[in-house]
Amino acid sequence: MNKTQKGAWFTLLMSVLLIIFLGYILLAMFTSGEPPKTFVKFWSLLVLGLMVFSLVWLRIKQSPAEVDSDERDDLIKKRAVTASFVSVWILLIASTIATMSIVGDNGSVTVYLLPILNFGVFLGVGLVYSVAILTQYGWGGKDGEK
Amino acid sequence: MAKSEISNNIRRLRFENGQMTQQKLADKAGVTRQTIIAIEGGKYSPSLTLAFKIAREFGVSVEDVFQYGGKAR
Repeated sequence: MNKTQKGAWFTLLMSVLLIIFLGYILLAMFTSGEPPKTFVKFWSLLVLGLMVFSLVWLRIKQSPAEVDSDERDDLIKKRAVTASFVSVWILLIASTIATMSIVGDNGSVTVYLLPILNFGVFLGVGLVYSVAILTQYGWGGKDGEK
Repeated sequence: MAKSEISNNIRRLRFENGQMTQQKLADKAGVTRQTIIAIEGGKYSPSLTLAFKIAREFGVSVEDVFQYGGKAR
C-alpha cells in the first residue's frame, strides 16, 4: 500500500468510528439526556490510540526511495475531492430534511444540534472521500502484482 | 478504471533488464509501485513525462514501450 491508500484507510476508519461515536452520543442525549461517561472515555482512547498508530504507520514506505505521491495518486485524489464536494450538498440537504421530518413543521431543535449536524456532514464527506480513493485503487488487494 | 487504448511492453522489458522488479522501476521513474502495476495492466495511461522516464530506464524509445491501439480517423 502506498501513502495515499494508507491515508484513505485511516480516514475511513476514523470516519466510521466517529460516526458511531456521534450517533451513540446523540441517541443517549435524546433518550437519557446525558452520554455515558465510560463509553466516551473508551471511544476517545480508541480514536487517540489510532491517531498515534497512524503517525508511525503512514511513515513506513514500500521502499526507501519511494515517493509520497505521483501523478496517478494526484488524479485519484482530484476525483475523490469532486465526489466528496458533491456529497457535501447531498448530506447537508438530507440532514436538514431528516431534522424537519423528525420534529415536524412547527417543531424546534436545540442550537447545539446544528454544529453536531455539521460535524456529522463533515464525517460523511470524509467517508465518501476515502471510499472514492479506495474504490479507484481497487481496495488495495494484492495490487495485481505478478 | 477502464482499460486504456495504449498497450505496453513493460513486463517483457523488465524481465529482459535483469528481471527488474516493479518496485525498482517505480523508484527509478519516481512513482509508486501501484502506478507501475496499473500501467502494466493497461488500467492507467501515463503522462508523456512518465512515459519518457520509463523508456529511458530501459534504454529504448517510447514507441518501443508504448503502442497506441486506437483507430485512425
